[in-house]
Amino acid sequence: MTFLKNNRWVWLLPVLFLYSCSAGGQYWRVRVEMPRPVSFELERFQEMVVTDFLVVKERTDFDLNKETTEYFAFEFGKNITIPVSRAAVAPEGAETFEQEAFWKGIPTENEDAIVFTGTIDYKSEVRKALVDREKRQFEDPFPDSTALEERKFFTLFFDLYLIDARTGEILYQRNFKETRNYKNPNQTAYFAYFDLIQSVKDKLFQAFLGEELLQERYLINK
Amino acid sequence: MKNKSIIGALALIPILLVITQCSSSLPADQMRFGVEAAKLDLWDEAIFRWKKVLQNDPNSASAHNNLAVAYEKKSLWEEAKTEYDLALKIRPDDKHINANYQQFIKRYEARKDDIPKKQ
Repeated sequence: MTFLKNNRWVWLLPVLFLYSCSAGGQYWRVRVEMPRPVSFELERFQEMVVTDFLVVKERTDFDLNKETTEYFAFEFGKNITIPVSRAAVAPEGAETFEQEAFWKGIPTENEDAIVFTGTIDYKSEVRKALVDREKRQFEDPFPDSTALEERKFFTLFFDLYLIDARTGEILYQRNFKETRNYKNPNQTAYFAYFDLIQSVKDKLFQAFLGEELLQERYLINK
Repeated sequence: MKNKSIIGALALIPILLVITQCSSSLPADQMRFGVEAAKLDLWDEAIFRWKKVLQNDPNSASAHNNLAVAYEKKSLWEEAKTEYDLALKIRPDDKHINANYQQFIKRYEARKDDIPKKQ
């Protein structure tokens, strides 16, 4: 008893012990860079071959097939580790995508290659509507009125096929329809096309590359 | 004199326990170690620790939950689903496990929906 009287700090030890055993929160909220699920593993192949696209209706203002193939060949080349090559082979009709013999004949440098091909269509139209114009400011001298407004609409239809060059079998197929409207009456189809194809690319690359996404999770510590 | 040494020996016990931090082999300690490792982005170490917890206590909902998060981080989707299912089976009303699971399952299902069907 004398020992405890002379060393009162000893009583603190059981308290310290209990604290050390229970220290720390029971839940921890952590922010984690979670990988996005990948729909299709492109990199299990040794090569990607970008072929010509089947263009539903040729345009007079720019070469839709050339712009599309060059765009994707460049973007894939930048973002995937397997080599990307071009093949000047065009599908003859929608039924070509199902013809395994056609795709088996595509020249590739590697035996295990994936073919990137598809159908593309691009439409533009001008839509007009009567829109109520609200009086904007107190000093606005013009009364509320109705005005004729017009918007330029551009729509890109993109049917994508990924085909195994060894078997000619379709491994992945996806359809996109991207629409955008512009208030600017001088907006050209060519510039609008790049806005739309970029939107297609972003969706496609999310599925292929599985980019990371910041998410919150709870870790439990008890 | 005899009393003095008994009290002295008793006083040493908590000292030793504090020094050894409740002994590093305790599951609670492994759990905490795993959490600290995860916070430092050392997910493999965290998985190792939480698996050790489960060896001692296979019904630890916390360890199953934490492992599920780690598997999600490592893109092991099916393993993560299994661990979340186990955690929720043991502790179905835990709001934190449920919150994790809701976030996970959205991505898990989206992944399945996103796999386009061959035509």
